[in-house]
Amino acid sequence: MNVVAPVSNPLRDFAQAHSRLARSLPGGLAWQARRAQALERFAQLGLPTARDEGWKYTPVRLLEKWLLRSDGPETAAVATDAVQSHRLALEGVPTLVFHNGRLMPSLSDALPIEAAVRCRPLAECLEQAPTSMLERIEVPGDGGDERLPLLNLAMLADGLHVSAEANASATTLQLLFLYSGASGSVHPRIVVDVGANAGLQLIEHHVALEPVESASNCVTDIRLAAHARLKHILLVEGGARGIVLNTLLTRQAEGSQLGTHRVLLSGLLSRASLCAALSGERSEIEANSLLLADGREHLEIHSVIGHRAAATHSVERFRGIADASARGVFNGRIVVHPGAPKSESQQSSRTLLLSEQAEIDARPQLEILTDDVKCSHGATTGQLDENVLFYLLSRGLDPQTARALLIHAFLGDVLARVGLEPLRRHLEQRIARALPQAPLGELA
Amino acid sequence: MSDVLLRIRNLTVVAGDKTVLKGLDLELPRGEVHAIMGPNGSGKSTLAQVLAGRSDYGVVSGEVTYQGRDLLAMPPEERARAGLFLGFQYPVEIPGVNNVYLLKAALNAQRKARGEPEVDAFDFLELVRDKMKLMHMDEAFLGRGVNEGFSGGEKKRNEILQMLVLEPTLAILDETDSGLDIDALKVVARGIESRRGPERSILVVTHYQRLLEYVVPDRVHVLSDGQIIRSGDRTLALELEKRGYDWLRPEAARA
Repeated sequence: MNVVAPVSNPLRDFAQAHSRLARSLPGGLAWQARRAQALERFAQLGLPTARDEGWKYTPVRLLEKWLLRSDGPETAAVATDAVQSHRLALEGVPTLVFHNGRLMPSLSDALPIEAAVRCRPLAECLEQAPTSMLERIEVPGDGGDERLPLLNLAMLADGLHVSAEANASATTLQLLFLYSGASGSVHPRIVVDVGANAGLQLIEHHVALEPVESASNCVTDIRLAAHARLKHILLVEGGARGIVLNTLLTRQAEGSQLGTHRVLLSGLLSRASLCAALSGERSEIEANSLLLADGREHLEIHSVIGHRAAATHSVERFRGIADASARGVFNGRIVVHPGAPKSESQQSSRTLLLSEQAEIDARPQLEILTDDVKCSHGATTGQLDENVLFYLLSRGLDPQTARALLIHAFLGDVLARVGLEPLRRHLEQRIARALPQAPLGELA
Repeated sequence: MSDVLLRIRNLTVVAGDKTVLKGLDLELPRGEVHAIMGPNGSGKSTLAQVLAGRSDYGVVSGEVTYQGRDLLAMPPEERARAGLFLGFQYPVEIPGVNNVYLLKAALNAQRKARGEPEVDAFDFLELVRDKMKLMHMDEAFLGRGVNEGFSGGEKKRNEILQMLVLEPTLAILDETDSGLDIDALKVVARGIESRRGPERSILVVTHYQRLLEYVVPDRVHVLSDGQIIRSGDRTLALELEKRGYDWLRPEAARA
């Protein structure tokens, strides 16, 4: 006797669940329509598969398992000591804490009250100013992979809106995202607007606390007005079980400067994608990224930097280290579009493998669609040089210290560019923890 | 009677499927400076590297005792901490690791092994500056990556600087004279000479006798085809300079 099992279609099931859930999300009817629109496009595109550009190496089964689970926001408490142990001790820097994607005012510092830089919970913005938020948060369409941002939009419930008004002097903010318990997937969004001539530093730190049964699909949506300056730091510690996906969407007006430093320290699957548009003349981006993969971790850095105006400038540096049977991916594409003459671009990619089983697939790409541009790129890949190791041992250093020193040297130039001295020291300490064989403490 | 600091007996070493050292014997008494000379490919550098603990070579037989200890059983870092120093023929460049950091880490690793406290930061800089003056090195070298962008001569001077800071009991200097102009050679020789003393020994490995005009050896050994085929006083070096190596080879001696 044949039993015909009902055909399971995760996307259709998800859409049904979504239509029930969406009614409870903030922003009223207009936002329900926007989410439905995003969901429809997402459903058309489907979840990424290994055949898709940019997802070739990703364990996509994890996306199937986790991204379409909308158990709804879990209100499990997060301990204050978890907050204390993970927040970076930066003096005078207010920290806003998010748990499973929701802003937790009780765990956060008071929002800056000076009018120059305002932070508002995104849920509140959606409720109180649905129309202006509809204008600000667009349905992603062009360039890069839009599926994760589409899904984020379809599920959008909370996050933060940061706006620095024109001429605001540089303020630093720390956003700590903690994930724990069973909440399915969460989709926070950080919307950042930096006004003309204003400066801002934003530290975005994602940590999966054990035990965790959730996936984060966070979008950071940044716009810089003319001559604005932003330093953005993304630090991801997904641990052995966490799935932390981050998409950084940036658009820059003329003369603006963006420095983004993305550091992936751990994760069952951690992926950071950048989609940057240099839309204004003479706008500049410095995009640095590093990943340190250990154990069975899978970490990915992606970026598409589009030069869309004249005399724009980009520098991209990637450093990747993989140990044990970990996997790293770097996919960096720089596109100089027609209409972007006199642009300059530099790209470098360096990888270091610490074990036979470790693997990093690095793919720097340069597409030049116009004349009169200056572009360069370079890539190296390798192991720790045995000659160099022996040299250090012959001077009396123990093998652990020698290896740590070389790893430190490998990351040195990119780490130094993070600036913010206390933060750099923290990074070095966390890197030391991420690579247990590299006791960097005394070197920091 | 002086005691023997380093004793090598019947050392046979292979690199890949090639036997490089073929039952080599050598004794280096405490307080003496010996030179090992020999043509290219005779096994000089292999000997230096094996003594420092390079693991690419296979020791087939023989023994090496250093200060009464079984040297071959010690990992390279332990040898260094026991006072053995190798001046590399080709010092490596290590961008991102600065010179002064390496010097300090190396010195502290050795002090720790001897049960001494870490060196005081001020005393350390004082010491390094002092030695740099002796080596005619600019202080700017300290802040640069180890050997990064150094010329051949600067790298060799840096090796001797490290030796002066680490104060080894046994210094093995592998072709430290190669690639040096005459002024640099004198500076390097002066650095080496300053380490001569009754408690310690120096093994100078060289192809030419040029350096030996300034660092006068107590004994000269000729290494050829993996064995010491002749030992003598410093006049042997002068003779080699005049006559080359061929007259010493076994087949030539038989003829």
